[in-house]
Amino acid sequence: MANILNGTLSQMNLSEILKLLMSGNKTGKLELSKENKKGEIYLKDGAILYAKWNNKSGADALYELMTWMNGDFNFIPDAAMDNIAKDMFDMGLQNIDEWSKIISEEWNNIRKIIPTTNVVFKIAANKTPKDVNLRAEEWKILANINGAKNVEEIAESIGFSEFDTSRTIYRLYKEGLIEESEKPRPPANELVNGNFFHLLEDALVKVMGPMASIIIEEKIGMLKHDKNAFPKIRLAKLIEYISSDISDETKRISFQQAMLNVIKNI
Amino acid sequence: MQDKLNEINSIAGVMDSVLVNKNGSIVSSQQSPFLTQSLLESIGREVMQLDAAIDAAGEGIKGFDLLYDYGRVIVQKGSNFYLVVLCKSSVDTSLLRLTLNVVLKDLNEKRVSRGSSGIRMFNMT
Repeated sequence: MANILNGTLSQMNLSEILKLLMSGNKTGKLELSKENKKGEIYLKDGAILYAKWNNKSGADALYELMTWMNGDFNFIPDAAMDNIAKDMFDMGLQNIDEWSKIISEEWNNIRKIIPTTNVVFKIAANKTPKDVNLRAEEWKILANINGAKNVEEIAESIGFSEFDTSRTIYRLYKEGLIEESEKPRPPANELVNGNFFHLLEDALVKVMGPMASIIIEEKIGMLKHDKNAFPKIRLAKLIEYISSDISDETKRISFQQAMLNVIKNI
Repeated sequence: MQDKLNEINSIAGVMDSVLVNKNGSIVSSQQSPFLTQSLLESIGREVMQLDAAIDAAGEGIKGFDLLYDYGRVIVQKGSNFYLVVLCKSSVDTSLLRLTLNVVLKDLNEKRVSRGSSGIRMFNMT
């Protein structure tokens, strides 16, 4: 059986693929996969007859599949629909357009609060929401919000789709129950020890020669800090200041690379 | 290439990073579910406009730092591509600039090729 269409959903979303297949009156199976998960949509003469995803089937499964923003798709023409007796439906282009519009509007709202699934939330400490009624799935997600797990990890741990998880988190955020947690940054009062300046001087001597220590002292002074009490949070700024004195671009980037490795490891 | 984007994305305050070629096509991204087709297309369009602006401004311009209410978009020019970083206002800009310098050098050496269209095959039978 020859594949006629495959690719990635990040470049062509499911509603566009379905519209293409439906307007061409295609018959076959559209397979969708993301990591180890797999969904299927069956079409006959351009109409969607059946969909399967996770433990859902029929229209529910199709709606969830349409919320996927990434993953791979693969259309197998004329694939047979084996052993399907229930949850069959007949969906036309107009319904796909309507669903696509609803999902797209909902994603646009969610994205204002959750721009990527790397975002981490924590319980809102300074807000006291009034009476709140939570549904079971909202409680399940709230119980996983701990200032450490990101949205993707929460979805993974409770077995919800990214869309459902994001949608629920969006609601919890709007209710004032949770707030975004910053990725950990070094505390402003955390200081570097003397070993850092030895490594800095070694790296700078390689590109600037014996003037290295003078340049370092000068730049620390410009930042109004002291070598004995230099805050970690200002290290990148210091490296940037020092780099501005290295005129050779190759040497400058090589110095920056070396110092980035040092910063990451302290 | 993906490991370079991961390096950028690991910085506190960075939301996502995308590589775009000069035709506005996405060469590489984290494929975050929030980077929808319309958002990717709008990034591509912005970059094409910035490319024209950079050409008009001359050799001295290596990128743009665009500030918005909800954060900033940093666009850095590579040899045949643009590196677009979406971040919050709170990002450590010095750390980000240092990282971008190093990543850009590596990517320039790898000479980023033309992006795929997303559809790998379309052979009607």
